[in-house]
Amino acid sequence: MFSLLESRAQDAPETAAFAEWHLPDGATAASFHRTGLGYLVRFPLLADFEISNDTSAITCHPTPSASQATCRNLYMNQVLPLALSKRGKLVFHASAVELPSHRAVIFAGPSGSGKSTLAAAFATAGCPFLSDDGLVVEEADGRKYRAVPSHPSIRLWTDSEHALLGVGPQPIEAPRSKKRLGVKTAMAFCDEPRQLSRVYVLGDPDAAAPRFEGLGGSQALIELIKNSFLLDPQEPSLLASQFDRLARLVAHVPCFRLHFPRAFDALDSVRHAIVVHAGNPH
Amino acid sequence: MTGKFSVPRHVMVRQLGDDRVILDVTSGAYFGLDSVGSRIWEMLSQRHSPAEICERLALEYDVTLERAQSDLARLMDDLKANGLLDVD
Repeated sequence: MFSLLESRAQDAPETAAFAEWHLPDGATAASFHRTGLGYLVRFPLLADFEISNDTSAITCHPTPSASQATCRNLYMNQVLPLALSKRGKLVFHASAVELPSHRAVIFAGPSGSGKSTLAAAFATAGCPFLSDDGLVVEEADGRKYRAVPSHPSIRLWTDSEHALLGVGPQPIEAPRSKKRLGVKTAMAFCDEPRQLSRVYVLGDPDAAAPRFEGLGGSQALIELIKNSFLLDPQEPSLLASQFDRLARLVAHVPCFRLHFPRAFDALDSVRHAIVVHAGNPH
Repeated sequence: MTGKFSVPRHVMVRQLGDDRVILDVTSGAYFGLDSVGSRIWEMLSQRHSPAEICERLALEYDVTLERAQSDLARLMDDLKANGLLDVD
């Protein structure tokens, strides 16, 4: 259960950080602390999130200058995926779309790599999206995996929004650097799990044309580790379980690195190339 | 090189094809081994001596004994430095 509480200043936490996320310029994006009741995830100058040990309760104290919209976005895009990872779910920095084959493919990569724009490009062309980030993948029937739908919205940079949607859906929230666009009729959303057929790790943004590079098992495993949410990397049992399940996933789902140009006028050809590639036997 | 080596309990290894990925569950750090490194790891975990490993490497990969010794020493230094291998 998520509760947005009164704003307060960010006092020194009870314990030192056991992990940190950093921005490209080296500034701390988030710090992770243990507390008597669970965890504190601090987004400097924005908000503190307290997560109970069993993850059943998540509370947010915004800083006085942070908006409710910012807090909700941090919760949906960062904190909720972290909580799900603590519950033993496989959660990725990845978007997912349903192809005409009714199978899902996922696009994994860090913020800014193009996964939300790719998801939106598919969704505006009639291929529903399941998630734009914080994607949960579940094991089903032994060797099969499925992508699980998350919130029916996509966060796009302003130029992506204009290129894909023109005037398009009205923004329903205004996060710090992207707009979260509610899905009305312009973007199709898939609200049921779909069997996962391919994992695409986003690669070279300077590629002149879409190019697919097969990833061997160990490369694929390392890429999925890098693109996984994990609240507590120092909890050995959870880490070991995640490692095991990721190793099984890459053994059963073909993984590729997708190099493609990040130009809006190339999105149609990129989308077509992915549909063709995913439809070919592997 | 003398002595036997063992894999610490906090280290997990998964083989995928010819490669292996090693995870240190206490630090969360992970490492990839290519096919040659993976073969060396396999022999280390089977508790072959460094001398035996070098002989097998030289034979299996058609390299000189000196080359095998150099490759083995470099990998073992890396593994020990990262806490992934214990010296008995």
